Amino acid sequence: MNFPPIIEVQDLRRRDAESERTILDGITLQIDAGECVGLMGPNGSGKSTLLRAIARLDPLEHGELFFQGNAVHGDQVPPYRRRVVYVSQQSVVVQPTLREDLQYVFQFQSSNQSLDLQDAETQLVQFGKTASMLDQPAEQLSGGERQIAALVRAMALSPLVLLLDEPTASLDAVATEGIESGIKQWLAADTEAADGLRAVVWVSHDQQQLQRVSTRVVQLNAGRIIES
Amino acid sequence: MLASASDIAISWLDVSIAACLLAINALVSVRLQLGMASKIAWSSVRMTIQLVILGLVLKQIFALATAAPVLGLAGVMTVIAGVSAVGRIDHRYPGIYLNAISSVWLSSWLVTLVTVLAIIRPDPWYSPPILIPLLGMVLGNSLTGISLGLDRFLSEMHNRRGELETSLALGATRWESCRGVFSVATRTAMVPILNTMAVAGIVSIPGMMTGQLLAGAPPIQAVKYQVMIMFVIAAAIAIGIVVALWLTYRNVTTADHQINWQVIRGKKKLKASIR
Repeated sequence: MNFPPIIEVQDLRRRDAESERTILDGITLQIDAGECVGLMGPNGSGKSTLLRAIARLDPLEHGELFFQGNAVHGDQVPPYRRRVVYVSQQSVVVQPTLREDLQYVFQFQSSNQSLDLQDAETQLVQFGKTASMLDQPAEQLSGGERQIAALVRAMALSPLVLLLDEPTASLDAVATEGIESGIKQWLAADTEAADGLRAVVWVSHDQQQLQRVSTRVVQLNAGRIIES
Repeated sequence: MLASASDIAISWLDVSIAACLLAINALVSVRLQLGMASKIAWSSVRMTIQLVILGLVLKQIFALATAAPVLGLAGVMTVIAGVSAVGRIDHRYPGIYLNAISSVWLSSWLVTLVTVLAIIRPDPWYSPPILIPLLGMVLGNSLTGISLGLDRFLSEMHNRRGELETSLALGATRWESCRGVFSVATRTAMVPILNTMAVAGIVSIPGMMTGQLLAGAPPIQAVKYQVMIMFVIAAAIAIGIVVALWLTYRNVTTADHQINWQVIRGKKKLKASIR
């Protein structure tokens, strides 16, 4: 079955205002349902900037972004960000605990669902943690635990697309395996369902990891796609 | 009848006696090698020159019977206050001067005009001996509040970048993301005037009341003026800081619910990029 593209970006351009260096140099990319697109490239090639651009987190000099065929602007951006969730490399638990953090993100204007804590607990277990992590003080969480907390929080929003910026960078081998299989299961679970046309964009420096998790790898260099 | 300060003129020789008291500070600084003697001397000379110039300008302005020059001087004072409000802010963005001047202008002029037209009601309404010192007091406090509030807002944004971005990435609107920083900055701006109000009459006799008592005003009359001016100043700071923060918030965020981090820069970097 052929799914329409979930996300399409056209001719994205961005320059660093301070150094005037070009960070994105006319990126055009299509992300289809069911895909896990791996983004690879050397440091400074524009991987994270592209991911942030897809999340509409930074103003662009030029270019357009379409979500399910529609341009995303203005007040459509916050609801869009709940469907296409960006998980940063340096994730922060905003509230004192993950439980409060989950409740907090369901208070935003753009939230039209209710929090399913059971789901979040199951996801924590899937990633090799226990439900007690929900009430652990945020400042006591390790870098790896914060990363897992951010993933659980992102998945609690029931997104269509996960934008993952080096999601296993601070994790050990066991936790990395848990994340990889967890994300693959998440992607596969609802792909066939009418309301769950999911996709993942995964930034990593680890070529072997991208071979394990992605369905397609996009190579970036100096803000351009050099191989797809 | 007891003498009041308005009956007793002091000469420059009398002023020099006070200057001698200051010389004690300079001597202490020299003896303890604090390196502050020249600073004390320079600040004293500069202050004296500024105030003498102000006195001469006020002498001319007070003699005028038309509104235009009075409002002209008020305008100059307002612009200087707006520029000064930005002086000690570490993080800046293009347009910060215009925003600071606009917010100082709006808040100070609004409350000063209400005070003059509805409370004191002098004849004429622009009576310089009333309007200029009143505006001066409001401006001085307003600029401090705006300066503190803007500095806190921009430094909090800088320090809490991860938190703000996380909220945005999870579907918060720009306002939902920045609201906490806005509140913290507003509270910071209000702290000095709230502290002053809390200790007024207990630890210190506030400036306007002191002036009126020295000039021979009845104490209760001086109290009424002081209470009135405290309320007016607090209102000016509250209006000024909300306007300044709102303009800043609109400048550093976009209609697409983004925070434009590239426009928020350290003082030196922004100056370099303007050059």
